[in-house]
Amino acid sequence: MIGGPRLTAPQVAELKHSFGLDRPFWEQYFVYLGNYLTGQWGNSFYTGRPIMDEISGRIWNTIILVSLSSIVAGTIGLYLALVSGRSYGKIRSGFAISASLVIYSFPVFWLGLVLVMIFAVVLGWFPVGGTTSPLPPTDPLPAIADYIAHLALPLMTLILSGIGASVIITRGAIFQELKQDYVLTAKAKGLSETQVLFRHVLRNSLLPLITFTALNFGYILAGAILVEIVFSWNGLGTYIFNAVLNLDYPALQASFFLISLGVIIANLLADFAYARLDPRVRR
Amino acid sequence: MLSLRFFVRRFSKQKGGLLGLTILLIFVAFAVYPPAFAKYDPADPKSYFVGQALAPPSWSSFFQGSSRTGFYGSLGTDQLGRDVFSQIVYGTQTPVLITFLSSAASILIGLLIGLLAGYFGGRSDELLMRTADIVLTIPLLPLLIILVSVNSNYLLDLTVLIVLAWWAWTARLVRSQVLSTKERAFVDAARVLGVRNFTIVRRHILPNVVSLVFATATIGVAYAVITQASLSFLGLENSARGSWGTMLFYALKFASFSTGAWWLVLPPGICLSLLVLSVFLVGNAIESVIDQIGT
Repeated sequence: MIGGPRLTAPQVAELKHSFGLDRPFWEQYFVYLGNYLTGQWGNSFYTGRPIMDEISGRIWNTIILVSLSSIVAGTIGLYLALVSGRSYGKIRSGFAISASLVIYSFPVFWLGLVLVMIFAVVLGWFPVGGTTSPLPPTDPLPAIADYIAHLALPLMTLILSGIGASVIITRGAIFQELKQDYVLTAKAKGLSETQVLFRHVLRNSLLPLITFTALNFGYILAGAILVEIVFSWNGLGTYIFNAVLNLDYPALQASFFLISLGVIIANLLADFAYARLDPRVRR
Repeated sequence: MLSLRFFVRRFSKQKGGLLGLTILLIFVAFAVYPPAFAKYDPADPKSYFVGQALAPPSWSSFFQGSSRTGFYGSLGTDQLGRDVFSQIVYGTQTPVLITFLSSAASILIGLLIGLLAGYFGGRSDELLMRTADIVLTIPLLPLLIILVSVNSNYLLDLTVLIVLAWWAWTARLVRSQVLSTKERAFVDAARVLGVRNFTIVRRHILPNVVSLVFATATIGVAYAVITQASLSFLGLENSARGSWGTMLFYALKFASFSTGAWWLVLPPGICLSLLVLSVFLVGNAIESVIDQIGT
């Protein structure tokens, strides 16, 4: 414990007491755990404000970005994979898989930079970055429009990179499913190719996509963090980054806790979805 | 057992694999001895030329009359007057080194643990797989951001950390493959004949897992490349020369792209995805060669 020359022993003791540092370590640890679970995450070293307040003001921006992009990318990716599954071995299918591979190989932050270059700098359709304009409009409708204009580019970046991943994963699953006997049965019943794909194969090939998304949720979040930094999007990602630069450990701890929580929740949701989609799991 | 010559002959028929291998070899050559390809070491301040900062790419003898020759300016220069082409060449070192070290190590460890857990089962399996589960739930990038920013030895730390996070993927996949292979009749037959466990794993189980290992290895290398690039993009790389990610970090920091300096943004990104793609192509080719041999 550091004490300056002007700090007397009782003052040091009082300070220690006020932080709970005079108690045994295990007790401190449980107090810490209790505080964490009740949302008392301490104050930021950098701004001095409660971390809970700082994060709750930003977390929604990240949740909107991640959930919207995952849903849209998953849906489009699934559709593309199904369509290319129908034309397996043809040029169109080969094109779909190569295009997804190429997009998948792009680092997501670079994709963001390129999109900024094209759509914000050259074409000027969207703002370069930020969550809102420096002086956001006060009326609700223009304010929402302002937010959406700022959301467009980061969202587009995450969707593009997400489509690449989900096409690759689902296509593999679709090929596995197409070899199954029930597909032959369905065809023998006289169902059209489209009906077989969308009624029977779709449901079964959803499962690996869901598992992949859940297991990969940490990676998706990592992508979101990078994209937020590229676009100065006011979410958890920029918060973590600034916390690292300012060595703001309590803020980092809280962000890390939230991210782990997010991954666990995503896996839990995936398990529930599994049970709903696949009756065999319910037993 | 497959002979090397046979493997090479089969591999040379894979067009994608050959293309990938060529790109990969170029990058490796860059990484091994950059001065052979680029004249202007980005770590050497004497190679900066502020007067020619932010010059666009040009192939015609760009700086005729100045003392600079060679490829200087062929891909343009950055805000400090550094040659972008030289930066690309020198920037190959960190990604190539880290990704190959970390993926080789994590594949070896993952393979060993997967074989062990899958073949012997029981309590060690339980322990190893629960550990893998815990490792898999930890989001890698935020952890790396924090650890790399507080530690000093960037190269070593990053390699070790990627390995620590990545062995679990390989181990899980290998284990599931081992579990199904273990139940096949030829394994039982070998056991009845009194073949030792070690030999069964080496001769009968390992060959059935190799193709899967290559599949995960390609994804592992791709993730490692992108993870490394992400960290240096966040400005967390502390090597004198920087890498492709560092170039993008400066491009963002100095907002080069918004002034129209596209040559600072496109080349590093294209190189990154070329590296990833070439690994995909090579991995795919190896996988299909192994599958051909298997059937």
